[in-house]
Amino acid sequence: MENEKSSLVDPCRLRIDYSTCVSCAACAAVCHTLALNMDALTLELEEQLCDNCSLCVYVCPTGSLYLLDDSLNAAS
Amino acid sequence: MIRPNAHSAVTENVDVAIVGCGIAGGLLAGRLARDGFRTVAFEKRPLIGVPVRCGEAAGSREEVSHFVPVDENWVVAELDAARMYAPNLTYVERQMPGFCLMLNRDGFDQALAAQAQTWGAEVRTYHEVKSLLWDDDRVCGVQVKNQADGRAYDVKARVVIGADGVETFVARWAKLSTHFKPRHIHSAVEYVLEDVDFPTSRLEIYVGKEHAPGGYAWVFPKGVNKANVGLGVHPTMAKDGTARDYLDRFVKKFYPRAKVGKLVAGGVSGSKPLKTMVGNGVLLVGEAGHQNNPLSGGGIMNALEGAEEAHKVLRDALEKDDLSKGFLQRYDKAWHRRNGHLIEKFAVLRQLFFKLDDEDINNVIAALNTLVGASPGRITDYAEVFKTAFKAVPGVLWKTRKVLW
Repeated sequence: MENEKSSLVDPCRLRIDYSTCVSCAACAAVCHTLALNMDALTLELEEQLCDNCSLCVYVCPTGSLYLLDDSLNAAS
Repeated sequence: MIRPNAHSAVTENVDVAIVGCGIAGGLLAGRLARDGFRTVAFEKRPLIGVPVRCGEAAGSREEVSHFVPVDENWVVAELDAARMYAPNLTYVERQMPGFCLMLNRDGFDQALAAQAQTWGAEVRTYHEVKSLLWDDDRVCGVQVKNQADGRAYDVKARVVIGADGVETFVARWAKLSTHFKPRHIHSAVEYVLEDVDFPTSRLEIYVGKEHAPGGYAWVFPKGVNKANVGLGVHPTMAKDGTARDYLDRFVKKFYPRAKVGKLVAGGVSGSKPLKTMVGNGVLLVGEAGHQNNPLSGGGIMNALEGAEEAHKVLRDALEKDDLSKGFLQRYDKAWHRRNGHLIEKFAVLRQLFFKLDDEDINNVIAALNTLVGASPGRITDYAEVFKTAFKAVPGVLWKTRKVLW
């Protein structure tokens, strides 16, 4: 799949801070690759689908998502 | 997207498979089961309605009871007035006796699910729908995972309902919508505050860049000394931190001594209605179908009304055995007539609202106050309110030219 291909070039750098995440799924609503999804109660990340677009980082109401080495991948 | 799964131990056949048992899913499950259709609602959470992701302000007692008998166990307050604060903290207030019920959303969702079960629907909690089943270009069921034992199974359905909320996967699997663009979603967060003097029957709204850029902050009382205090911000306009940072500052400023309870958060759709909410064998309802109000973010009544319109069309479609997109599009039209046309207007107003700076909003509130003062209780239609507001902002046509033309 296209998304998987791009992740080979740019491995997933998205991280979830579970100490502040309240599983609201705002991030899942903006995730265009369906990499973020709510399990029954917690947020799950399918790393091979993530393309580090950082839209989820933008909308997270609690600031629980971040990209490692963010400076290299400024949000569009 | 997968074909019917050969690995599943069991394949069931139902008339209607509903993905998500919240407000819209719960009501629709009940109504269709009452008509005699075999209806199963799948809810991925172990307990219906938990965790709550909602401000919990609904319509009046009369409006809510049209859909489910009102039970005082999930009604926590009945509000009589609304007050809107400008950035300079002047306000306009409107008396509207009994206009809003404050709910315990978990109890409310559970009541709808219980009503559905009473009418013969089956509700399966802790069962997560993992994908749709397809027969050519037609959705013909769902693949489900029972989270309790890890077992996957297929359910063939004549129609699949996406009632899975703002992050809807059904809509995206069925190619009816895509992800939200950041400009079409609000980032919202809320605390349940206790031990402070709140007005018990009046909700309050605060607008302005300091408190909630591109959105508003709310104080929704939940009985004595308790309130939902939250705010929604536009993610691209919030320059000073996350929604939670804004809320922390808001609470510190207005309720420094409050006991901060549970944290609630969520994304709220601020988009226009979808072009279509239906496909062959699939239909969306509630926030999955972008049915909430893009200006206020409210969606409880819209979800109930959306489910009601969906029910009417689905009943006919199932009886005539025509679940094609062509037939189900009657639901698109019915929704547009009932609420969609308003939602389109609110989406434009949302864009206009973004163009106003704090000084403009101060002027608008002052003008509205003059209007209320001149004829108390007379403001009845949105048109007059917005006409007054529009006139109050100098250069408004220039500011909003890109939205209007």
